[in-house]
Amino acid sequence: MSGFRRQWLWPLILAASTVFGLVAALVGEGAVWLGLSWATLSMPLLTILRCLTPSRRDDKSPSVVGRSGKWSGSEDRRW
Amino acid sequence: MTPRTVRVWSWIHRWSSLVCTVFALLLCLTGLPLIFKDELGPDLGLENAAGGAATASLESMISRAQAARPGQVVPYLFFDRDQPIVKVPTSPSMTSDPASFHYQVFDIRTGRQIDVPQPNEGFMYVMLRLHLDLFAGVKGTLFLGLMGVLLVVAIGSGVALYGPFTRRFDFGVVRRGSGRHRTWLDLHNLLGIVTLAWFGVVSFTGVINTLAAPIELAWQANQLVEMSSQAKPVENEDRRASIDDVLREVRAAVPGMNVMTVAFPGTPFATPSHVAVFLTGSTPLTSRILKPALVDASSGAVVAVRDMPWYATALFTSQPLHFGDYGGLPLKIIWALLDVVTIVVLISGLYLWWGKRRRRSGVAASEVSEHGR
Repeated sequence: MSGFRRQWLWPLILAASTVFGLVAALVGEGAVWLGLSWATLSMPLLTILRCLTPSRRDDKSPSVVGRSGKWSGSEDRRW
Repeated sequence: MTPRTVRVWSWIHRWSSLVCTVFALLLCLTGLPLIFKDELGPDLGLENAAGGAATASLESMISRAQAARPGQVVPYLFFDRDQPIVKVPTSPSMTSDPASFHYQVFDIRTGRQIDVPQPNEGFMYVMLRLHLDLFAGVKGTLFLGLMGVLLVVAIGSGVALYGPFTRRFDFGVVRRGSGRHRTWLDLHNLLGIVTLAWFGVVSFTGVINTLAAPIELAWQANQLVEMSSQAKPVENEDRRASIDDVLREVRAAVPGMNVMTVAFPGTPFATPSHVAVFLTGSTPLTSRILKPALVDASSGAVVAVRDMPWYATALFTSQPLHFGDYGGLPLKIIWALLDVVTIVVLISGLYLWWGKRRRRSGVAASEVSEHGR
């Protein structure tokens, strides 16, 4: 997967799903649109849960993640 | 992105966030109970009336409200979108500050008066005023609007920084065990990017909401004057048509719409000789967009009905997107959870800035002590 897709695919999906959820309940009429709105607006919350579950944490940390296998820490220092 | 560009975005993000974070935290915390204002509000104890139609006389309700508050006037009638009730405020004059209104609530089907606490006192009122204007009126609202603009800048610059800060990681990685700072930085990045669209929309619509007062003024100065100019001169200024007759005329002229607010002559939303009636549609979106009808106060004849201008429509559309009160209780719960996530984003940003500041001052102190030896 390209670097851009790896980094931005999920943020873009989540942003689109959030906007859809916000508009769906406002413009759509009926239970279907409400259900779609609740489902799509829940996606960011479910994503947070998924990312913070122990199994995922164990996969990725505390080891360094990066193509070179080394983390320079330069990004952190900029903060 | 070059290192210099990253430094510029970092500077923008740091300072736009720092200036508005305390106010953003206040807005998030006070907004949390306001999401559930209907659920936390008083129990109206409405009985199931047969048919459910509004049959009781509004004129009689106004008389009773005035009798209970001698010497006061009724400037407005506020109908409820969801409940068959009308709030009848009384005040010393038609132009009194709404904060001084005394409300009496009636069941519009039976005319029964409902005993409820005043909406302009208690915990929820304090939360509302802190959220709305910091108890400082229009100036407070506009100040919070400015803080909202800074928040939007902070969100935008945060997105610009997300790229360079996370380019070596898979999406959603939170490093643990390699320092508290890195964990909080990753958490800040994750929660910030995941709630980006929601927080961006809520912040932007919040800014639009702070412009309500200027938008009202613009409507009064332009549209209201134009609408009243369409009327014939009033023949008998002392005569007042019954409000029940006025609403009957309006409902006949604009069928299929619901009356939300009535502004009586002399209030800022009507003219000295006209009643302004504000109507809404029935869909989730149109139920938020007001349509004014101007009625001759003496004859009860409808003078003009027109759509609100685009800037007022933008304000009305932005309100549900800010409050999250248009999709039932599940949407409110999701709204509240996203609000809590936003609070964590704000606190983690503050923590990261404070941690860096402490580290820098620690390095400077050790350098000074080494030079001193």
